[in-house]
Amino acid sequence: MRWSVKGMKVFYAVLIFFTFTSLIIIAGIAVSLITVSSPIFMKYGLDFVLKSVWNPVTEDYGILPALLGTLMTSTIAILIATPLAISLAVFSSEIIPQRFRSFMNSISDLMASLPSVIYGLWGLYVLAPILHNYIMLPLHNYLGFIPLFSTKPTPTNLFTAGVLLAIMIVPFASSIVREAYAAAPYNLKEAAYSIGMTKWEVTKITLGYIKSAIFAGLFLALGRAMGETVAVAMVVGNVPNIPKSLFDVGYTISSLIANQFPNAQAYEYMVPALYGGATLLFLVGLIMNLVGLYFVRKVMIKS
Amino acid sequence: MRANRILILVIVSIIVVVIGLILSPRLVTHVTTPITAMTTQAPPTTEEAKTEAIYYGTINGAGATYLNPQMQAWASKFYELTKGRVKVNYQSIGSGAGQANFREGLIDFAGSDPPLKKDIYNEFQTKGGIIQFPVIVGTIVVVHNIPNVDSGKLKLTGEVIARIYLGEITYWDDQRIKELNPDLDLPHEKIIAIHRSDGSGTTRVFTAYLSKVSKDWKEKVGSDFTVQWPVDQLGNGVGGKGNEGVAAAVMQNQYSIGYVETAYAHEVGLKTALIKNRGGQYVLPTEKSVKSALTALTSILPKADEDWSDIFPDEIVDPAGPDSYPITSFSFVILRQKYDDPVKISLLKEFFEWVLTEGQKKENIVPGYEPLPPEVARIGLEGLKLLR
Amino acid sequence: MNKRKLKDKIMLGVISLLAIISAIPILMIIINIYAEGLKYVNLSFLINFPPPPIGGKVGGIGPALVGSLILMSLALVIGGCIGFFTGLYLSEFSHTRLAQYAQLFLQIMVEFPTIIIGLFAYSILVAPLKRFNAFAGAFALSIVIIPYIALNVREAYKSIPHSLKEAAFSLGISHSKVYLKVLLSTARRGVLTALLIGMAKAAGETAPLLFTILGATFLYFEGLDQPINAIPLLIYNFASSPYERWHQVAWGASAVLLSIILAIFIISRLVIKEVRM
Repeated sequence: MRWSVKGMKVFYAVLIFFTFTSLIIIAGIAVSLITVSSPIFMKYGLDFVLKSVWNPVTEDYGILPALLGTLMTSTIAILIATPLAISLAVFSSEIIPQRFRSFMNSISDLMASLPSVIYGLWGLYVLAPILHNYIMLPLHNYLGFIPLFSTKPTPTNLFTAGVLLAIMIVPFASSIVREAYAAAPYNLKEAAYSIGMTKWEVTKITLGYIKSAIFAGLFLALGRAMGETVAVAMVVGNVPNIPKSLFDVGYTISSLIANQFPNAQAYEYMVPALYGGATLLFLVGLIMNLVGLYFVRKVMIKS
Repeated sequence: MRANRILILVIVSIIVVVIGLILSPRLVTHVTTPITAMTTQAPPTTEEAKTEAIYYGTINGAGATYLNPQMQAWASKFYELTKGRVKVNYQSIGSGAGQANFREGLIDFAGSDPPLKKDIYNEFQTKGGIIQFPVIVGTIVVVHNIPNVDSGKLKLTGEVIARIYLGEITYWDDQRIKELNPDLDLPHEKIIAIHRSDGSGTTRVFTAYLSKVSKDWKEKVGSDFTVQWPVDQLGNGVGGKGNEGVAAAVMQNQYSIGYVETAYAHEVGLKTALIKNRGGQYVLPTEKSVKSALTALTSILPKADEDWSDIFPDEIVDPAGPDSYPITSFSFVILRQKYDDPVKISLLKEFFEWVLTEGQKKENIVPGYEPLPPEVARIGLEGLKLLR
Repeated sequence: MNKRKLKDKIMLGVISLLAIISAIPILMIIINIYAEGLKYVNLSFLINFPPPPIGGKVGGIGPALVGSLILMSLALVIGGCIGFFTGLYLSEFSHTRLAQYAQLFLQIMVEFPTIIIGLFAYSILVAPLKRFNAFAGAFALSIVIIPYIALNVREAYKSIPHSLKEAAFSLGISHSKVYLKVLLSTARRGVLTALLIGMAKAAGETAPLLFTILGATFLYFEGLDQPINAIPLLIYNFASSPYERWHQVAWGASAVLLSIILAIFIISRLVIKEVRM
């Protein structure tokens, strides 16, 4: 008994040790963010967040368009990805025959391993023209009076970036949902079927049961969408303007970093400015997560 | 209980491995340095080998993306020629990052579109000095996508290009474009101005050209790796990441204009525009027009150990000469004058001497680049003598 | 009754349709890569040095392939270890402060542009050592994958029904055994998926490598303290060049990368069969 208590302690110490390690690494990154970005906040203060300018010639930087662009593209992405990811998860664990599942899941998880430059080039050469001709132009031509569609679209813009992001994050979100779905207790489903419920009704109940996993998956995917650099940089249009419609060319913080980093060290304030952007992304993530937590708690209490 | 012990064993071994790996650079350096620094006595049959030992090893360089294809071609050829004795490892990470890493002492040489800035040059002067010299000539072309106008037909002046990117000329049938092209049927369509969105030497040279030919541009925008494009603010601009991004944007947006490195326009098949040079002629980058531009430049170029920031790129673009192509520029290699490792010095000397002589021959030049004239190559060859 | 059946059919139809829609781009990209890339892949492609843009030999992706395999396995060992135990802690001690903070910050980490993580590794492992090195790249990659593994492992353990956990603990065996044997066998699918996704992520990342491993044209592997290459880096450089041959190598490299990952995925999924409760 003494042994087992000691063993238990060692085991928990190990768990805590690794969790601490994760936290320390994150703290290290946060510290590097703050120290490197501090010159830009010292120089411009809040202006850095509220200005819409990117002018290396005069070393004048403001991140607002990129910040708005990040929020817009990731909102588009998550709106599109949510139904798709849940459907994909249900489809691969409920509808297709068992023997194809392993293959199907592998294909879907495989997407994480594609270098994002491949997504970027695919988005640029394949997705952008398709969206332009069959979705954006018709929307603009027939519904152009709605402010959202008011800009005459070029193939690369915020909307294209949002759709590409959605495609990229669906596998991430769906893998978590899928695993939780598969782990939902079998007797729950059995009981539901036994009282004559249809497959859809059982699915609905199971989805309700794994609500927290669905949130977790979507959050992970949303985060992924906000952090994506190269792929977005290829299709977002990269113009530091404040977006007025869905079809405006724009910027995201991550794509700004991807675009500007290779030559940033030639300037005095550009590296701090890019780190400043990353710091803002960190803060946005913090706020988003806190709101998410609050939301999840509310849902949990309700059910 | 067993699970516990195994677990602890696994964790301990992982920690040991990790610490070992972290420490290994020092250890490995210790062990491998003699090996890379090893010299082999060449057979006494060759004349020069009697006096000089032959070295082998790797030299690491990084920097300009623009230089990358040409540098890889040279590195491959040189690897073959030396039968694997000299490995030149060049990676494209951007001019700015290349220079920064070079300053940190992480790489043996930097490839860069612009030479060092004045303050950094001065900083190096106090630390043993550097040499910087052109290794290749590059040109930038203006491309367009007007469906009914063929490649090599549209005529533009620097002034008009500047006005387009300033957002002052917004339609293709603007009087100022029509004047230059009386025989073309230019449509009343909005000009979408495409530009690089990533910081790049290409933009640096292109905007230097615009600054030189347009006073307005110089005052309102200026020249840099990235600039604030006035046309963007009017909503008529699109940024493409990299040459491929610009090329794709030009292809996908009808009635657009853009600028790319010449290699890109050739390989992708974009329509190029003629540009009026100082002599009043409309030219494309050809062997002749580039040669003419370089001849005009040769007299003004500094020595390899001097500061180049005053003449680059403002003095280099839009050179005199009746045939000169106006947006012509160099890519540079930057070396320290002092290296601790004598092997590095011989390898660097050997490679860059080859690059500046044999490497400039037609068969070693990748399409899209132009070789240095011998007078310009000499700058580097003289500079290499300073390595010690 | 009929109405319910109809609704069932419709909803399942909608789900299938949406799933197929979301799978189309995935399949399109994969088919595209294999159609374009497989024709260049042969043994010498896997071994040789990368080619010059024109002239010379056709070449291959040898150094990048070797480098990627080394980086992937190292990252998986480091990141997998930290990530797994962190995830387990997050799941089983979710009420503690430490777990709550860790989870919050791990979720934020996911949205971090990975280039920043690369720069972090640069500042602690490259700049002080005065050289680009493979280990810094592996370290950066493991930081990138920790949140994915930890959060996925957490979900895997979380989704084990409470009754099962209670039963496992009542067996009177040590807690480590409960978590690493009894419960792991239930959560193994989820844990495996977590590790696989982490590995796939490590295999495909470019940005953290840009400022850590430098890249290597003529070197396979000369020690963890030396530059090394990786397939995503090679694809990144070659795909954005204008030269046809480099495009072909980039396609071929993508096909190789996908095949490796796909093989690992399918084999490990088949080995760890689905469990029913």
